[in-house]
Amino acid sequence: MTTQSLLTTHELEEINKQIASSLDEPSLQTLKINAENLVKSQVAEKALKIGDSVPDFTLKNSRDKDFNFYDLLAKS
Amino acid sequence: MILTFYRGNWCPYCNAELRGFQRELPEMKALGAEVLAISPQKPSFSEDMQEQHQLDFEVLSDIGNKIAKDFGLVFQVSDEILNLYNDKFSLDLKKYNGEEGSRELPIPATYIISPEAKILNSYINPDYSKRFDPEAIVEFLETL
Repeated sequence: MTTQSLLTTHELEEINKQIASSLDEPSLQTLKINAENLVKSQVAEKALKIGDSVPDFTLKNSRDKDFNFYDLLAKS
Repeated sequence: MILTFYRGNWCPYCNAELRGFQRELPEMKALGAEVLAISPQKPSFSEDMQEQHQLDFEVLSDIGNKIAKDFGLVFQVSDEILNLYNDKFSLDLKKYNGEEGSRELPIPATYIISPEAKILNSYINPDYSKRFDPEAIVEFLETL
């Protein structure tokens, strides 16, 4: 890895600090426990991963128009 | 191609992430990559997100998390968390996502996909405060 600023990662850490300082302790505990449960549930285990093929899809963009994934892939 | 699943406009981490993508977009495009962002929100919220951060990439609406489910990224939000979002953040998921997406969210995930639709790299973390830093993505793209 080369030396980097990783500005986004830094911003994410700052947001963590802001939330920790603005929220009451019971709420922080609730968030923490739920986050830990989500990790324990191994929800990410069934996610698509490196080497998998991505199926095509069509979704609405922000102007409410159909946007096709494979079309853009073919163009890029 | 870079595909990133985010939770919503109400999520400060997602805002920081998409801003980061915009910052690195010229670099990514120069390396031949396009960026696509996907959330379970209605299109008007995708538009708000684009305008707020002046995003020059597409933001797509995955109503009911259908595509996120194909990617295996969806989880049920607990009642405890739904209540906390309502009470502490005045956040009503139904307003953003409609009835179909009012109790489910995607785990934030970022995929780098080849022109043949194969996944070359991915970052999936149930800890929503952690993301694939766009600068690190540029670094990966440079190795291809």
